[in-house]
Amino acid sequence: MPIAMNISRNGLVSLIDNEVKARKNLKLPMFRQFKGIIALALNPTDGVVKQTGVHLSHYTWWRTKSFQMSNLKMLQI
Amino acid sequence: MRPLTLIKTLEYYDVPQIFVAADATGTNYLCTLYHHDAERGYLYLGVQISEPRLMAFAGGQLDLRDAYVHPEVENALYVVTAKQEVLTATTLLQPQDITDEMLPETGYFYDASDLADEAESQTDIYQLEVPTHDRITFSTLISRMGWRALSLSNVLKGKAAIL
Repeated sequence: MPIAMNISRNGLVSLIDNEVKARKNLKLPMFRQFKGIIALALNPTDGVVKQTGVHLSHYTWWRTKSFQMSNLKMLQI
Repeated sequence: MRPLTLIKTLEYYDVPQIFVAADATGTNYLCTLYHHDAERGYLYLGVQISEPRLMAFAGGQLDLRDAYVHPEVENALYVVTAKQEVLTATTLLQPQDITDEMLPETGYFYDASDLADEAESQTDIYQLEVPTHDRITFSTLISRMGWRALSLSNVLKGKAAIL
């Protein structure tokens, strides 16, 4: 279950699949602007997810043009 | 203005959040992202840090905030900018210049348990001098052990093959 902390960049979204890790990242200065984390349920039509970055828990989500934020299912706040 | 070279990204989210860079003298800087704007680029709080202390942080034994609040030497804190892939230590900071918004909260200990390049990080790199007459034997040994030779050049002062 991917956990997103930032949905701001055009098409590219960083995800973390480890809640403990995501919460720890909130201690970093740039994350102070965020209110917290959410868990998302993604559908195959929402785009492609691939492990990227330094940690295995980090993924990049390439959103499809058809993706609608309003259809995003937030499982947990 | 002091140019820096990226050594290793330690934490990545959208962009590098924490990385290690070094200046021309080999001094390490532990850098944590605290601000971004279009004009100045990405701004990091950088602290000069010794190898043992850096290893303590990378090993999860040093709180990131402590690295900045309690630097090992005076005049160790800098604003480090990253813009158009150029890293520069720009402004020397005094402790009173550091605002809380620039600092990580207490309790950020680095987690190296799920590194994507863990297998690579467990690799040691050696430079060896091997007598020329053992070159074929040594090449065979490398092949049999599954080691990886970064380069194989020959003859240093006519006495050794350098792997």
